[in-house]
Amino acid sequence: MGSTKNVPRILIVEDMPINIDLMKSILAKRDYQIVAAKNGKSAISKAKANRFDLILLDIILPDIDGFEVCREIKNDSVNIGTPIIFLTGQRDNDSLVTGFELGAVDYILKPFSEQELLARVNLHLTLSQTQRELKEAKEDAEQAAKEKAMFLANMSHEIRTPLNGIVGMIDILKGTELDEQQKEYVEIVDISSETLLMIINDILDFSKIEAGQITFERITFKLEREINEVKKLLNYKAEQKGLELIVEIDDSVPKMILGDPLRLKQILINLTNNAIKFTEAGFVKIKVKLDRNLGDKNRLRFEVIDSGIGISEENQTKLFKSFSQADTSTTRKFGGTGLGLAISKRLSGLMGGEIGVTSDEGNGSTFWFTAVLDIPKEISSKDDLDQIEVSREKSDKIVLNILLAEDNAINQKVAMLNIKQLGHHVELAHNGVVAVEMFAKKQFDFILMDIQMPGMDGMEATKAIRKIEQERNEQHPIPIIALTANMYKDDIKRFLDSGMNAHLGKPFKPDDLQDVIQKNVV
Amino acid sequence: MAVESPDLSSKTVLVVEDNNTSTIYFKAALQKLSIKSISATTGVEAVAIFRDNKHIDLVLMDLNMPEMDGFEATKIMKSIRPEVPIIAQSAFVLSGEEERSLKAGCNEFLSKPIRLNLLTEMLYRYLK
Repeated sequence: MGSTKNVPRILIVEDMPINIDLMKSILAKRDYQIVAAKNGKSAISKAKANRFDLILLDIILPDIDGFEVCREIKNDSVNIGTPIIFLTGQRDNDSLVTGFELGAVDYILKPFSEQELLARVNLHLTLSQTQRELKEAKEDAEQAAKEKAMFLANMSHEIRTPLNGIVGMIDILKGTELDEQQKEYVEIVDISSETLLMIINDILDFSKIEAGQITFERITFKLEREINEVKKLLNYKAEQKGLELIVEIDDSVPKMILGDPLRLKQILINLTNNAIKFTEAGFVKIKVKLDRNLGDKNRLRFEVIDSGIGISEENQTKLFKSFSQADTSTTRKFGGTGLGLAISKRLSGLMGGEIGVTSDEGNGSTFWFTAVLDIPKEISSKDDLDQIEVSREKSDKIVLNILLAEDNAINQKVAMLNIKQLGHHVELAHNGVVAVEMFAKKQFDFILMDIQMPGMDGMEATKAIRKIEQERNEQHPIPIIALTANMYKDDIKRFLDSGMNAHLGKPFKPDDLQDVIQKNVV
Repeated sequence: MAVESPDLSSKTVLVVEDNNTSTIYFKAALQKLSIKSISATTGVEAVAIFRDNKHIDLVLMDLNMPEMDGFEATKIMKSIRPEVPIIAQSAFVLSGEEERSLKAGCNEFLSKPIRLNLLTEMLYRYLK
């Protein structure tokens, strides 16, 4: 930082030569470089040409007043950050306020003592230099964080490229003739490469969070379903160790939640996975309860309770730091990056919550986190929740005329069975073109649309239907629900872009269908 | 959804990939499914092959390549025969990469490493 070595440059703006000389003689006692201007215009032009470290500015000047000079200087980029001290002959409150509003840092009342002038000048020079250094340090740190994230992203790319060859060739190799021993070896390579990929993903995720590059989605979702997905995903692992994986959702927890289900699941999977890893016998329980109602938001508390080995108090504090496991022997025994809990901590923090652990060594552990989640608008209070239940019962009794567009014979049968089970009427179109024709001729309340159909696919058919509606100047467009076995986020986005209202995964159960109808039929 | 193996022996896939190991893997995977394959290592080469060969049914497109990248190559191919599906595949998982590829006209985005079952599923989906 060059400015620390340089002699501070001070601009004195003052019309009385005797005052200039006085200030010069006082300031000459310190190592300052002094420039003087005798009127406003000269001060402005000097300030435009050179950067000063401090400006002493008289309010009363022969041409333009000091306030105007201050405004001009602050409007120009050269001395925008330079501290300006006003010199004034009287303590006039209004003009002092005006001065501060214009960006002055201080004022000195004339006549002043030598000590006061030196002290104030020194104070503001030090302050502004510290400020500048802090700003530079902050910018440096931000730049470094960005570069680190960029570096990790590039490294991730470099590692993924050969990993594609490894993972791919393992899959190809698995399809060839192998004896039992070879199969076992390939399996080990497979697991190792999956672990490596997991580590890379963790590191990338962590660096994204650190660099503030992750965004949270806002989706209305059914909490119970997401939690059960976590269970489904990890049940196999638990069963293999003879553990019981239990889900317990308190009645106080709202059914529908507005937030990011993926990030929520990421934390839960992480904690549950750890619990399974470190528990040799007994159970792992996922427990959800309402921690606190905050008006239109709820703070939920998630707990993962296990009957495992427990963690000593000393090790508990270390757990949530990056790259830390209870001890290094843990790493050797159980693997992992040691980033999982650090990631979980940051994610819960970003969701307005906290994370923690309670444990007695030898007596199991409870890992918990809280998250502040919005309540979807239509059910912002408990009363409304009851109403939804009521209206659900009502809509059960309304018989809808549903158009099903589906080309696969088996899927047709399954879907029609489900629709009929809910008491609705259904008509079938075996491809997109027929679906559009049927829509044009008949009155329907609801369309279930397969995406992949020969000829005209679901998205094209949707576009055609929306066009017909537009031509008819339709006030209530028909709900069109995409039926798809693929749940890729971008696909779903494209479905919605084509004019569909929602999507339903295949195969679906009557309950899922009821849910979608509930949400989309007014 | 019933997973049967459709007959894809009449299909041809253009593999655009600058990493030799990945090319070997993709070609082995295609061979396993009895799909014919042609390979290119740069965007320029890929576009030239695509222009001349009307039998290409699908393109497996790497995004980061020398000469011409996958985004550019995709745009050109989609202007020649928009009906041919292009599946982007990249080791870059930076936010924005996926969106950029879809905007360029790719039908799908797969991030490397790509497991064989996912690749197979994609090929079935777009070639059947």
